[in-house]
Amino acid sequence: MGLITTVLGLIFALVVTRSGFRFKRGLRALTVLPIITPPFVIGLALILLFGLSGTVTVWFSELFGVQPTRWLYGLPGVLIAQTLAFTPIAFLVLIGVVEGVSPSMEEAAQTLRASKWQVFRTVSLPLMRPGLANAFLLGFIESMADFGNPLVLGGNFDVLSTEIFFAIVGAQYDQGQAAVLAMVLLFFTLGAFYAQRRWLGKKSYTTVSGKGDSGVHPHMPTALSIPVLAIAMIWAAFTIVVYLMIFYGSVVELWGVNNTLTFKHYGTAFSLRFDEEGIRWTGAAWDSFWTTLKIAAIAAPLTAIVGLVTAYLLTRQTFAGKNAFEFGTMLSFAIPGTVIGVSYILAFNVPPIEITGTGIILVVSFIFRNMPVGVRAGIASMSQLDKSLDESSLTLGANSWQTFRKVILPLLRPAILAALVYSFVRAMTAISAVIFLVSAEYNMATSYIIGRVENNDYGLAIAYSTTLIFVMLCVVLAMQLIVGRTKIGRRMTESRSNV
Amino acid sequence: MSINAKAAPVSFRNVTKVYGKDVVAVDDINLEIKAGKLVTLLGPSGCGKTTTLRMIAGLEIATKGTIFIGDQDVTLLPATDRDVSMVFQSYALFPHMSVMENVSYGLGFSGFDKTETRDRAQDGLDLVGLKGFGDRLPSELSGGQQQRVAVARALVLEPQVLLFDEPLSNLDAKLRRQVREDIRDIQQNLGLTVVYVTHDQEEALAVSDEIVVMRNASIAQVGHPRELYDAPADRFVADFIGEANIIPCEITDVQGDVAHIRMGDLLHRLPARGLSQGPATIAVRPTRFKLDVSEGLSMNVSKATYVGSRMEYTLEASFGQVFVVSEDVDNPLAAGTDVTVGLDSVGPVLLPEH
Repeated sequence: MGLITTVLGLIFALVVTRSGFRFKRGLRALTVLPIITPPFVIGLALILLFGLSGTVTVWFSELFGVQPTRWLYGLPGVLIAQTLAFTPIAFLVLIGVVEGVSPSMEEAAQTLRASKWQVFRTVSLPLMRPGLANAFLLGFIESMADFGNPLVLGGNFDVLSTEIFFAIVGAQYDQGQAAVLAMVLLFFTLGAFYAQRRWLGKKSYTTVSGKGDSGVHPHMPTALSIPVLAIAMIWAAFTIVVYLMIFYGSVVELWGVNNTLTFKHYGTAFSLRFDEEGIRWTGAAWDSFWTTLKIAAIAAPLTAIVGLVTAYLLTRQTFAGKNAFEFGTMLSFAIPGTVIGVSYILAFNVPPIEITGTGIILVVSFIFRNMPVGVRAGIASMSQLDKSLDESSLTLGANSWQTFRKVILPLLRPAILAALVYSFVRAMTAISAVIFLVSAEYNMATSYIIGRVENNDYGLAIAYSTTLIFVMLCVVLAMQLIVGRTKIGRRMTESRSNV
Repeated sequence: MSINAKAAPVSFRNVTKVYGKDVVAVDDINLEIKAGKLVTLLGPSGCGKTTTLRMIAGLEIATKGTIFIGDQDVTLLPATDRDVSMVFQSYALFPHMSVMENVSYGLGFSGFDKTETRDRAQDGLDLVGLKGFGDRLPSELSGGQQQRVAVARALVLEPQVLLFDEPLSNLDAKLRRQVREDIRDIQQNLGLTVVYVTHDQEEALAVSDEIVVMRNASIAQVGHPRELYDAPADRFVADFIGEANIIPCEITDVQGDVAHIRMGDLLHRLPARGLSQGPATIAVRPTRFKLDVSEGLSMNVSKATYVGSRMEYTLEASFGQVFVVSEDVDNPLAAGTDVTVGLDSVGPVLLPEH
């Protein structure tokens, strides 16, 4: 899985940075989608397309008279869904990497008589190795931890994360077994983490001198650019179709059976009634919707604060075990959410800290899960702020609190916003850890939707997902307006590529 | 030494380079670079010197005009197919390859077999004094050593033309002098054609057979270092190569190729350079003034700075400020005093008007 997304991600990064392709901006915009899409939504859309009563399946069977099959449910479906869902993440990582390869390296290789293809193979590609490894690791971990898509599409094809889920919530209710499976999952991801380190070895991949790189990236060799462009186009088209399906699916009566357009699902989920007491939230989804918003809104600023404080500690202070500490903060990103979910249940189900089933556990898990992004963004911008800035402010008569508030904080604004947006969005779309931690009182949107899907209530699930996507799109856009022209996507690239 | 030169001349005929729609980086230049010579492209940033170099390398393709290397028209030939190699400002050593692999890189694409590649790369490293460093990674070398690896990597291909893009700008001041001498030695010993880009006029004067001064996408003057320094074609060149005081004067009389000029009370004789009677300007180097003479221009010392080996003065004259350097550090002039200033008999030069 990691391999597929990495290759596809690389293809996209190449198209955007190394070709005369005209719709680069559109392609970049596609990368924001999966960040704001709950992971299993892709799975849902695939069912609408290729499922038993899916559009393509029906059309195909009418055309050729073939009996519709359930081929989608199982490995192929999960694979396709994950490819669609995680390729943009690899793309985000790799676009920074591809752009980061110093142009003069490639020019040097050209003047040394290497053909374009040879340059790509012997210089560009090896220099992208750390990025490729990161993208691979990310794809691998996301795929291992992915919970929604296997649940929706898996059929009899069980993956570790769903096994863990059923061990906890299923009839067996065996926390021990869940913990063992979580250990196995953890072992695999840490193994991948270790393998990545090994593969990179101790070779150096950074440009030796940063100065005077004024060259331009050469375009891809033609032999490479044609297939690359073709694949990218097909993928982009497919993604667009999938998202159209999601929207379309939310406004039809009953998919494949009754294709009349209706807003019924939105009605069920989000109906309002006005009476003398004011607005009555009568829709079925409001509860989880508000809970999600509330918890995301609480978790996001806390995540940002914890992340930035950690970043401050890591950049401005020295203390024993600093490296181990930094590694530890990154690790919580590498651990699959499923494992975190299980461990939180086990840890906080018993005194002294008994918070399972409360909103607190959700907030806490979000903070620790999403903190690394805040840390990375914080470190990136804080290491750019020279210490002399603090010092000059201090010598000008400000005390350290004033210095922090008037000098450091404004300069950190982009980092703060990145951390805020990211943790907010992740809190709204997270499923893998959340599903273990929700309770009747504190139900999250994503686990509510999964519940609908399990009851085959696709219309409602999709309508709800569409609403979530829309809400988050608004949030991201609003944040982007506040930050101004700095791109959130770019910063995420930086923060994620350092996993 | 098994590395030989296949030095070839380079010639630009009416070459223009336009970026995008209307950014003219190089505007209709003609340039002849002779085989076996070191020619410097000198100019302020944005003057088109690097673009010119990159057009020789094949990293930029000329918009108009033709470029020859030797007898071959290379105008449309990409970098890969040109017999040219380049030392980059950032050195552009491949960080994932050892020094040996870096130096062998180009040889592998040039049809040499394995043993020959290794021998040649070894010779290249010997030549730049890095014997025994082959197994290191570039990141384990100092800046000066990295620079030499970059030179070796370009040299071993025995290119018709070797290009240097500001090769010294990432080195510290002390190392610069030595490295530029090393580059000049290698160039002369092997008889290479070298095109060298720099914005440092002292560097250009020190290493070049010929200097091409560029300004605003075109060539301001071409000449030997001495020629540029002593007979600048215009105000820009005079000021860019070494410092110059540009002073207005009056040509009172021209006899043959000698002009008599007057600046206030000061009379002087110097080469006429084809100018005739009337108002003109002269360029005077800071070292070409005589201080405290009996007859000359009266000026007031507004600043006096002791810099160890010499005194630097800023003098206030009726036509503006003059910057003067004096070797006499034992009897400095104090700020505020009046002084009578004359000109050296050799050195001051009339600037042709445009």
